[in-house]
Amino acid sequence: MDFSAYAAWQAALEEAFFSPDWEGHPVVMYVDDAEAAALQQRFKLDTPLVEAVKRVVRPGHPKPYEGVERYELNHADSDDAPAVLPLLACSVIAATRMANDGQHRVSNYHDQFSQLLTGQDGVLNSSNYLPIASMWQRLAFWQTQWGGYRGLCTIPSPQDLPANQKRIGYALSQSILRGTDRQLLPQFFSAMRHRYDTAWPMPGARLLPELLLWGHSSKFSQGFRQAINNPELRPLVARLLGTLANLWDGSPDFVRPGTPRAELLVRFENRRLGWLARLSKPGEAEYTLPDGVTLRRLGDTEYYSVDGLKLPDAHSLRQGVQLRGEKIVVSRPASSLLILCHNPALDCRTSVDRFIPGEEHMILAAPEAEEDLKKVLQRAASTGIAREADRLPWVPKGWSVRLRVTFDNAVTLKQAIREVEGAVLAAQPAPRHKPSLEGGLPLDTRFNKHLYLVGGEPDLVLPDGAEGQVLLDGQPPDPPLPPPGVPVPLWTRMLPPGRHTVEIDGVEVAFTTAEGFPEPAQPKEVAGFPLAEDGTAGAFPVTGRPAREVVRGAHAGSAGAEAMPRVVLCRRGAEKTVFVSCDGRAWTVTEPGVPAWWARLPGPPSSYCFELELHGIGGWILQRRKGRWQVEPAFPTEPGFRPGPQHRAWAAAVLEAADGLDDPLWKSCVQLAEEVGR
Amino acid sequence: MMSIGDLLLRWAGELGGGRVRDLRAGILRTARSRGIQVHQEAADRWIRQVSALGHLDVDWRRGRWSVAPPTLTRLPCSDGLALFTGRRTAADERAMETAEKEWAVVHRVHSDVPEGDIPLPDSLLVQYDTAEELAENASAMGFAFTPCAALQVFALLPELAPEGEAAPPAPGNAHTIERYDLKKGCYEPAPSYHEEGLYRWRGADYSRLVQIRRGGRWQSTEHEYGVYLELARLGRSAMRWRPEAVPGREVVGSLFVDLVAPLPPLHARAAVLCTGLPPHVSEAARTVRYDNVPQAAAERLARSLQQTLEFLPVIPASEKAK
Repeated sequence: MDFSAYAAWQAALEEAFFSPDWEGHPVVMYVDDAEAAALQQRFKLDTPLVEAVKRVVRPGHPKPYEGVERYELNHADSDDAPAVLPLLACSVIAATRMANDGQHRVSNYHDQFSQLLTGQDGVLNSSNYLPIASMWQRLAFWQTQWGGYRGLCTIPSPQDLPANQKRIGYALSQSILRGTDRQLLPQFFSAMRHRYDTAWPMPGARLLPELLLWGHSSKFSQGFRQAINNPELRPLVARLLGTLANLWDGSPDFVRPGTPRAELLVRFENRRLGWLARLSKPGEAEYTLPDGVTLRRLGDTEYYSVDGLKLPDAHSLRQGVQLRGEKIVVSRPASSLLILCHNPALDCRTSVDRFIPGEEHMILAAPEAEEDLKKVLQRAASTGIAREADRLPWVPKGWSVRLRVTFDNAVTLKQAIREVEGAVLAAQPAPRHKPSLEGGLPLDTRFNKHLYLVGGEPDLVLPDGAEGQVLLDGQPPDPPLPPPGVPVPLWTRMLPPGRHTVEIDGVEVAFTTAEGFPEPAQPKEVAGFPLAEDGTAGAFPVTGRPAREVVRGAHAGSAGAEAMPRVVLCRRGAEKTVFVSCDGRAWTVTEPGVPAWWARLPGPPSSYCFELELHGIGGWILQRRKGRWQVEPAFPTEPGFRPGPQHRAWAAAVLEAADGLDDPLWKSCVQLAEEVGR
Repeated sequence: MMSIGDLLLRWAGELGGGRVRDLRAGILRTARSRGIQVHQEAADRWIRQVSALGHLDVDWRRGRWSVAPPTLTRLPCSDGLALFTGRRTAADERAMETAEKEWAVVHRVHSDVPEGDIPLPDSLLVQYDTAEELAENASAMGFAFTPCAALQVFALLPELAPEGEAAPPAPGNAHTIERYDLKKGCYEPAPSYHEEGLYRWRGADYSRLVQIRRGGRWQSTEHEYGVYLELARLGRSAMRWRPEAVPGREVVGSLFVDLVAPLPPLHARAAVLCTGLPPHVSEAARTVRYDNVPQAAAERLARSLQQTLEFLPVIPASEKAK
């Protein structure tokens, strides 16, 4: 198969629809015959798009797109878009042709698609179209992974598609809205916002009928107007409108792709709402915006402080914010809801555009969104605390506030939101296009992205609407997995170390587990308490000092050891215990009780011994049991004193236990003790 | 099946070190994946506790951590008990199993944590017969040996002092200023910063700055030091010590520290390594209790933080039983 023309088109389509110029902009991959011709001219391509795709498709073969799938797989190890764009673009052209001939039956779509790539009806049909639907899902997954950097995804999730459009709905969704139509939408949204004081964003289904009544509706393309009027396509149009309304930044002006955009976030800290801006990657140190607003980069992060902008209030939250500078446009969509989650990079709460199952949310709701939110929380929230907003001066007037709201089940949440609709619709969790692995305890992501510690296996997240049989390591799991919605913890499966696979609907994800690496990892930067010249250590660990100059864990080496007493263990239960030192002194030792803190231990350690601390000189432990003396060395040295009457007590103790040990050093003590007696 | 605390410690050992942010995220998602309802702060509490236990060292200012070398060290005044602490990879566990077969009697101690906290790794206490052989045994296992980490670290405790003069809050950051409330044990938004006190705010790069204000001068510090500097300024005591009621062990006891005045990491490590067990937190009494702390060590610790140690009377065993 000759993929050269296909590859050139792949690059052209990626540049046209998924380049970083689209950062922060919604992307609709609208391609019709005219657009394909324009792209061919713009990118100076020799072969027309359809011709390039015809060369790699095998009509009549049971798997006509197998060649493209293989090509995609072979080119999958890079940051580039999945190598499916030319084929998907053709699937969109077929949808636009279907729209043009006015017959929106599913069978008509497949005829159009078959005509496009084979010149005949019925050669390519619905039975072999499934791989193309999967390609759309992979494209959506890839685009979503980039955040907003490769444009904001408008490809619907499987659950958003009507039952009779489960396969072709992806292509149809991208065929509805051409560029000129999109440029008009900010004006329409703005007009709607002025007309209605209801919760924003309004669901697409509510926007749709209004669109036809709008004064400028005649400016929309014929194709778009036809789609609005067509009952088959209306759900897709409504969904797309809802998505774009959700992303709308509150300004009637259309921001062209290629204009760098920053997302305006609300942050909550120090019991106050403030602003922050985020680029998808660190940009310039400072940006100047109109009205004295300045963005300043926070350290090496992609976050910027926003100085000079009035703090968030009910008005700016509801209406959205758009600030156009020379080098950047900063915006926040209008919304009657404010959802905040903990931001690990900044260690404070910042706003998010959707609910994130499993995370803790703080939710502020405008009065018009309150009822909808309440219903969703009643149906889907696992926890949460409502606070009396009137007493909290930082809450916009009239808004409600809820803390620590979590949602465990993504499916329940999505269902609740869809039943309620309203402003919460925009906050529904991000669509899941593919099965994926989340969490777990990865061992070294740079070495192997999917290598986990045994027992720290990741959670499996199934795609929305997944219906097929799940296979774990090629077998149906026992017990079966719960239905999609809740991440499935794989650690409960007690999988042995090694490679494991999960397969559903023909898509496989794989991971490997190990008990660890053969050699322990050496930390690249050692943290420890730095030792100072005055014999102390720093009270707080630092990094950047050689390991030998710091205390790490309990590894202190000999630091601080000078003042430490020496310790000997003495057996308990003696009738008498005496310590005789090598400098001629003797003490009777009272046996202490068992340490009180041992009560915290599950089974008490053997209380066979007790500890005796020796500060300074060493000596001998003398213990009498059943009338017989035993002698144990306790760091003894050669006795080095001149015997005198002051040593009588010492000598008496030594002589009493003289036969307790057969050791030359002890015998020299005994000899000295005898001299004292004389 | 390995407990979550042991699993997380093994994971940390395999990683060797890295960003606190990543460690925190791994701890939280593992806890949540096991159905433990935890808040964000629980991960930091876990890291601080595990650090005090001698497993990790954390440079909070730079947001980096590293695992400590696997170490065998004697517990003070413990009648023949030592502690395995630090890294605990699968290979380290195997070395400990071998030691258990050959010479060590290992006591695996599980410590309960309050609701909302993440379970800690088990403490591994070792019974020994002769202290002299411990160094050799540790070496044979590939472990480091520290004669008595607790007492050694007590001897290393530095004198409390701020780090030095620092710039006051910039006008642009004034809205992020908070002042530490010693009664509540937390920072509260500060409408002004003209009073003496312990403050924190966000710097230009959004990092947290902690400083004390003294007579119009600002001095940089760490949170724990800042609290003790405040206590010193106000002449308040936050530490008490009670001797054990066991005959012959009156020089050893429990150190009580007010919950609002957490010990700096080195001090906490010294106190925790007296038993190798996490301290006992009493929400009712608002105190943290460290057991088996020798009186001299407790006095040394208190002095280093400009505290006067209060002595509590012995509670006779008969009264305890009541």
